[in-house]
Amino acid sequence: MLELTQLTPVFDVLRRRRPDLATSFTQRYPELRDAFEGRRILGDAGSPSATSGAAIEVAKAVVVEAKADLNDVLGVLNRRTKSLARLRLAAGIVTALSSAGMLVTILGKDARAQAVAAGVAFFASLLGLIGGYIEDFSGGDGSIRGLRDKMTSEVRQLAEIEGKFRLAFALNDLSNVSSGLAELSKLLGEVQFARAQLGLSI
Amino acid sequence: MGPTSFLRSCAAAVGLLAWSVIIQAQDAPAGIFNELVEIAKVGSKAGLRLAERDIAHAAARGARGRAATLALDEAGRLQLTMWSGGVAGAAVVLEHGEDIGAIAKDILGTVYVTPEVLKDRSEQLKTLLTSQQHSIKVVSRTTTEPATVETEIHAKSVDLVVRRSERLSFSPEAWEKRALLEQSLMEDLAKRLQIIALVPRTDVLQRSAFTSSLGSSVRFVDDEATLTAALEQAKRRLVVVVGHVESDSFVLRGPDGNAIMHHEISAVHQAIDDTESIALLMGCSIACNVGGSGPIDLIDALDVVRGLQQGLRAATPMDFLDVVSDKVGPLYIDTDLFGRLRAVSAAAPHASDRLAKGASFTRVLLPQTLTASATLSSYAFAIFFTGPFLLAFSWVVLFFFGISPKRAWRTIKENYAAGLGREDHEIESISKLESIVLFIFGPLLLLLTMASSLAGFVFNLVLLPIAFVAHYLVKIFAAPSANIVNRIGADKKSFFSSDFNAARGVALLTVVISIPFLGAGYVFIHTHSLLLKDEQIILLCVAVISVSLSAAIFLVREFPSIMIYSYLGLFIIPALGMAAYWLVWAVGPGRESLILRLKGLNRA
Repeated sequence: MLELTQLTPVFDVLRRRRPDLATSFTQRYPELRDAFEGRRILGDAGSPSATSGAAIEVAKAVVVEAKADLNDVLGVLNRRTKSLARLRLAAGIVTALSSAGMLVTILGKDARAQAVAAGVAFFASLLGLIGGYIEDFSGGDGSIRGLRDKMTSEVRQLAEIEGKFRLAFALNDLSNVSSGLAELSKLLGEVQFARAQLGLSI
Repeated sequence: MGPTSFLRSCAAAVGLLAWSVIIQAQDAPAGIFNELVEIAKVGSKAGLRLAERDIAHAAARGARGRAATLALDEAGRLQLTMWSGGVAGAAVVLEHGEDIGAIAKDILGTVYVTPEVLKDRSEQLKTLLTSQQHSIKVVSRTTTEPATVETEIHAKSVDLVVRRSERLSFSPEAWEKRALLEQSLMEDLAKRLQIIALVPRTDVLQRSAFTSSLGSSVRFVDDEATLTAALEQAKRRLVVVVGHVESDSFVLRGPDGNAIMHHEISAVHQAIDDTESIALLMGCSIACNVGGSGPIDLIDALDVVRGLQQGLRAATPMDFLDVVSDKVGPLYIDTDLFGRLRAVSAAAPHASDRLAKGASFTRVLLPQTLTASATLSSYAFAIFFTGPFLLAFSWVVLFFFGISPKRAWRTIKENYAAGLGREDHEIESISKLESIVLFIFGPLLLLLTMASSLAGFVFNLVLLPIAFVAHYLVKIFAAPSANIVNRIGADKKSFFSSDFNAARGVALLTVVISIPFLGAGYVFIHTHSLLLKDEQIILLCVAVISVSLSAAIFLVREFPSIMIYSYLGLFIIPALGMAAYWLVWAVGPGRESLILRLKGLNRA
């Protein structure tokens, strides 16, 4: 018997991505109603034990959705990384050009042109700074690079969990399903956290 | 000065002297006062018992069919009265606790009890409820409808509760004190709200629900150190701890279901006690497992968010509890919520408190309600405030001396011309810049000088000598007089000491304000050769200033928030004084004095 309802990220993902499936599960397994409705029961007795059948069905459904969810997050992370790289490149080019332009204006002794060139160079270097900040350090947990590294490692973790589930389903080994769900829930918690940091729906 | 006026002045002086005696008296040990209070309390308790018994009887009389009442008689003995069809049977005094168990089977219908019986005879009532399945209702003077009494399991034992609604129950002690919950404290309590939510970092859904509904009052906790720090920092606050409860502890579980934090609820209670806060612990069945106020069933964290969000808009703590229990589920309320309700509420910042930090006038006059201590600089600022305050009233008083704006204006021009070495006629054509100086600063300076001189004159001639004499008289007579009154039980605690202390601030303020005006007053009298020819005018001056000061003191004591307007008055009053000056100057005829005109006299 499993304390399934404590694994809230599993149910949150299913409810968000597959509301039809969540409704179906709720009808078939009333003991999981609170979990599928997103309730956070603040006590022991609020965690009714789920049947092994329910656990296996939930595991099968959620592993598919977890892969899709993780892919979504990685897709967004890749796009943002590319955008930031482009931003930094553009900033670098503008800085370089304006530096060259500034040299010319210094030699030409045109005070107004010097001021414009200096302003452009300053703005471009600011863009570079912002790009670097967002990519590396923004809000600590919100670092694009940090999130990308974390999610990339979760891909490997998810593959291991999937393999574990296949073996458990073949052997009808409920204990491995249980531990696999716990690991998957932890992984989905991190994915949820990344989604929140990226401003995606949760 | 005629004999009538002399007598009036004497009466005023005696009144002021008595006032000084009262405010200067030292703390006197209370004796006879305490005795009188104790006697009154005993008498009132017997009266209260009789009144409550009558209410219980009225309820039983109104009930159809059979009923019974359990009330205490004047001597505090339990008295049972059976009722049938509104007619009372003989009253039976139950001397021993077990008597009620013996006759429980004979009691039929609803049993109406008084609050005192509910509190003091809970074991007997539990016997009635559990053994014979009686319906018990409590009646009191403050409620129109009798409230049902039931049993509930709290802290793993059976307790009596009074049911306010389907989802809100009270311990008998809490029910007796519920009047406190019906006061409009919720606005202040909401300002002191601190929600500590035990939510793991990865549960972004729940965290988002908290922050979007309750904003910055939420502090998330996902480890032991942060929880301890959050509890220590919540001083004098209404702390709502929301978390998953297992047995007698808050337990925080990660996304994989493993426990990442474990904190005993008793430790939370202890921390809340140490910081003089109130705790409302929102976890499943807290009241059943641990004791104290809290839910008695399973609850949902998201319902707690909704309940708190709506409940914080309530006017009274009782309304707040009604809303929260309606959203969250059954709540049990015990006396642990009551102890510091007022203290926490009072800790909420108010406009008048903020003002008090900067405006010393408030601190000097309201020492009993504001905690900030009055300092020397406080008094300096108080004088700074009082100056403009007196200015406006002094200007009115100047009329009675025949100093009209017309005469004042002529003096200003003469002084201005003399100061600049010009002829009078040259003043008629001056530059714009000079006009500003002449028309604004000239009258203002004159007004200020006259007002301060006049105020000094009044204070020094009337109040200061009295205060000076009173100080020594009070020193000699006040303490012995109070001790004579209180010779019985001289070892008992002091009486009204806070009132005496509070009033001393006002007295000190009066004396301190008087001193700076001393020299100015005498200079004014000497310069203008003012003599006490007309005692009515002098008395009028005293009356105007005394009444205005008394009114100000009364208003700030009764309505502290009015101090905001008083503070604004610091800037408004001089402006109004100027406006009044020019208005009178513009419309006034060429007469010298308004009062003389009214009296049909002309000094000239």
